[in-house]
Amino acid sequence: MSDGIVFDKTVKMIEDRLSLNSINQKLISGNLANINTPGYTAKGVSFENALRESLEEQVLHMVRTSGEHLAPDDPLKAMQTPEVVERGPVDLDTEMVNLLKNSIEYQHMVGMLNKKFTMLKEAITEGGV
Amino acid sequence: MDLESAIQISASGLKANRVWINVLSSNLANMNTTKTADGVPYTRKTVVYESMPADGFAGELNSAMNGGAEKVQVSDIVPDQRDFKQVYDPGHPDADEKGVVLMPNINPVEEMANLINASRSYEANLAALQTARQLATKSMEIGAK
Repeated sequence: MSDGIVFDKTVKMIEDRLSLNSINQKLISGNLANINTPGYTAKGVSFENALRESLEEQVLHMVRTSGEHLAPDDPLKAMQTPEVVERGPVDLDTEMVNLLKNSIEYQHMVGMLNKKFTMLKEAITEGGV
Repeated sequence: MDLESAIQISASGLKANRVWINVLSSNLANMNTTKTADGVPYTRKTVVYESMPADGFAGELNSAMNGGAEKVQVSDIVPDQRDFKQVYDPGHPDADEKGVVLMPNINPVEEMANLINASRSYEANLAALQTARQLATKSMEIGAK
C-alpha cells in the first residue's frame, strides 16, 4: 500500500500486525496438532521484537524543510518477516493462553482499522451522513 | 493464506486424535479377546505420531527456511511388544493343559488415561479451529461499517 494522506502509517501497521497474528495462529494450530508428537518443539513468533524493529526504524528519519529537497525514503518500512523461535516441548496451557491472546489482538486490530476508516469517512462527508 | 493453513493444521490434529481414539476403543473392546485370526490373543496397538510440513511445496520451502508450522499425521499403528497376561482358568476353552489362558496385554486403566489425553487433545485442536474460523470471519468485517 502506498503512503499518502488517506492510507497512512496506521493502516500499514495494522495490516502488518494482522498478518503477524495470522502467522501466529498458524503456529499455535501446529503446536496443538503436534502436542503428542515425540520430539516436536513448540514454535512461536516474537511479535514484540518484530514490532520494535519496525518502530525503531521510524523514530529517526529525514524531514524536508523545503519543497525543493529530494523526497526522503518512506520512513515506514514493512515489518520484517517475524523470526520463528522454538520454545521446547508443547505446553497445553501456554498454547491455549496464546490462542486467546492472539484472537483478542486480531479482533482488536480489525476494530481499530474500522475505526480509522470511520474517521476517514467522517472527514470526507464533513460529519454529514 | 495463513488462516487457511491454520485450519488445515487443526484438521490434521483432529484427524490424528480421532485415529488414536479409534485405536484405544479397539484396545478396550478387545480387552478379553483370547483368540484372533492368527490364533493368538489380541495384541495391544499404539499409534505413532509424526509432524510434517503444513501445505505442499510452499510448506516444504517454509519449514526448510525458518521452521514453519507443521501438520501432524499418524505414521504407523504398531503392536505393543509386552507379554500376554497369564490367567489361571481351566474352564476356559482356550486354556492350555495346565489350565492357563493367555489374555491380551491390555491394562484398562492405561487405556482410559490415554483416552482422556486423546479427548483433551481433540478439544484443544477444535478450539484452535474455531478461533481460526472466528478470525477469518472477523477479517471480513474490515471496512464493512
